[in-house]
Amino acid sequence: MTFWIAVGSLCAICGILAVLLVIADRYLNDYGICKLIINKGAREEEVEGGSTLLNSLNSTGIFIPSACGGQGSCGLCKLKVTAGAPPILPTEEPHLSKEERADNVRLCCQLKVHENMELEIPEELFNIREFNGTVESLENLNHDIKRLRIALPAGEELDIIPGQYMQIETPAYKKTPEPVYRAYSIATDPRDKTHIDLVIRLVPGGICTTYVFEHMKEQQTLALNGPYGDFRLTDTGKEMIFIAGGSGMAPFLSMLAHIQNEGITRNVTYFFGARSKRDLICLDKMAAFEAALPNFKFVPCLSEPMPDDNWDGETGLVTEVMKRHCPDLTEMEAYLCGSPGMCDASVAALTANGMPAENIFFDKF
Amino acid sequence: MKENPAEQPIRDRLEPGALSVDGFLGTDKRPIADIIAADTGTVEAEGFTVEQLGDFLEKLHVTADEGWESRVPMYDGKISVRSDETLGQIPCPFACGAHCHKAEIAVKDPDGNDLLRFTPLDAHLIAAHGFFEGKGAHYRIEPKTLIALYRLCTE
Ligand SMILES: Cc1cc2nc3c(=O)[nH]c(=O)nc-3n(C[C@H](O)[C@H](O)[C@H](O)COP(=O)(O)OP(=O)(O)OC[C@H]3O[C@@H](n4cnc5c(N)ncnc54)[C@H](O)[C@@H]3O)c2cc1C
Ligand code: FES
Ligand SMILES: [Zn+2]
Repeated sequence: MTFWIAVGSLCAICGILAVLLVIADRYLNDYGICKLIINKGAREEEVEGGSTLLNSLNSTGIFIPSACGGQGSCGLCKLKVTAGAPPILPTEEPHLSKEERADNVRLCCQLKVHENMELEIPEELFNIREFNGTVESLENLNHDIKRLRIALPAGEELDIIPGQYMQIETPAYKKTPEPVYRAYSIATDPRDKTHIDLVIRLVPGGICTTYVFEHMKEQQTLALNGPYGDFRLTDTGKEMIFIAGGSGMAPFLSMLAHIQNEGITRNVTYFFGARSKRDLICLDKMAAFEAALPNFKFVPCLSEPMPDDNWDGETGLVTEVMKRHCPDLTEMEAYLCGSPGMCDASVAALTANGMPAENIFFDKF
Repeated sequence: MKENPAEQPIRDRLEPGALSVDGFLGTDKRPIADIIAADTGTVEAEGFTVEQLGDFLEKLHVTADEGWESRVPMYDGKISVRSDETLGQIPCPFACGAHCHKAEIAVKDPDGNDLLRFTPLDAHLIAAHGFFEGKGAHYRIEPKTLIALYRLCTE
């Protein structure tokens, strides 16, 4: 009997402690409504405290550049926070220089809003917008790459600069309880202001790409925001080299459409690296650009063609093929899209043939 | 043994759906500290360190990445490496501030047989945290398999 009384009392105490913990948690984590005082009061927003500054700003329609979906890895979401910020977090440290720390620059995806905050946001970021688009089509470009065409809501238009990217929201689905954002380069003809085209490669086990490949349906809505990024064509008039494989073709589709629309006559050679024929994409589009642009040449290079590919085009590493085609690069410029290792290997090959490093453009994410 | 409360946020990030579709724990129910202790114990008993093995994987990744997704021979052709790369980075689930490129590297022998598949994040998790992932996880690397590969390449 005494034993059961002891067990009963213990359970009651545990129960009371659990309730107290829940209440304390609610109380401690209730930051109430906090004010975001932007650009010395030029704009003020009220947000529910407790969320990251990035998400809080998003909820007010202000979109800060982000290529990692708020995971603290791209370092793009930097803003000056002059009041109301806690000390710098370990996850921010790798991205902030000494000067930036002294200047109150913070990673707004890492910072939580717990009180009123004062911050500075460059005016141009107020142009970034969010849409609820409609998936108009989802088309296989090869065995692991799809083209996703998104229609903006009726009456909405978006001006993009070829080379920029959008972020799409993967809604919560059975593989992830929270929505996540991922960046994708815009592949759209910039004259088409009512659609966004993306070229997406399946990443096995990837949260967003598994959603796109296995769960996304035509006609569903899809939240997206942008455009972001500074990767763009120069106006130097110099001859250009593009190097990219796979889904890295996306920005070049948009750039080539722009070159065609504007009647730009600069020489362009696009070296596209792939393993075998099954990895090639958009050959019809490239042929159409070659027909429309007398100064454009598309050079697909296969590093491991299969016997039944019957390939009589260029073989070998795309960087080696480029070096063979262009022995003197001193007066040219290059645009790259690929992983850091691919970009490093391309920069080494380009500079080896005389291209000045400042003439090579790429985003290193 | 029960999970140390300080480890709970790490466990949350290792679960499926938090940072990756399938998570990092597989069917392993052991506390994270126990998983790490068991695997680092195996590594040390063989006379290696986790840093040595993680750095070795990172070297394979860097070489593969510069190969533009083609197969690159290494260690006098004893192995070849090939990487499927994508843009973007994934943060370390231990929240140490590290971010690793999203990629999958396949290591093969000269006959084309698979020796190992790993990601740049694995190289970091092993070198910095001694974490080879839980049993049954898609990217779990058995310490003995990695040691055998290291010996094959370097001896
Ligand atoms: C500016 C920018 C532009 C981009 N443009 C494009 C584009 O045009 N087309 C395109 O296809 N992509 C593009 N990307 C990449 C894109 O944003 C995504 O990163 C990519 O699609 C993968 O997203 P995901 O959610 O499917 O993968 P995630 O789930 O975020 O990551 C999957 C990767 O994480 C690692 N990983 C996951 N789980 C584990 C584990 N248990 N153990 C070890 N490692 C693990 C692996 O490396 C795996 O490959 C771009 C990225 C940036 C930054
Ligand atoms: S959004 Fe990428 S670091 Fe903040
Ligand atoms: Zn780490």
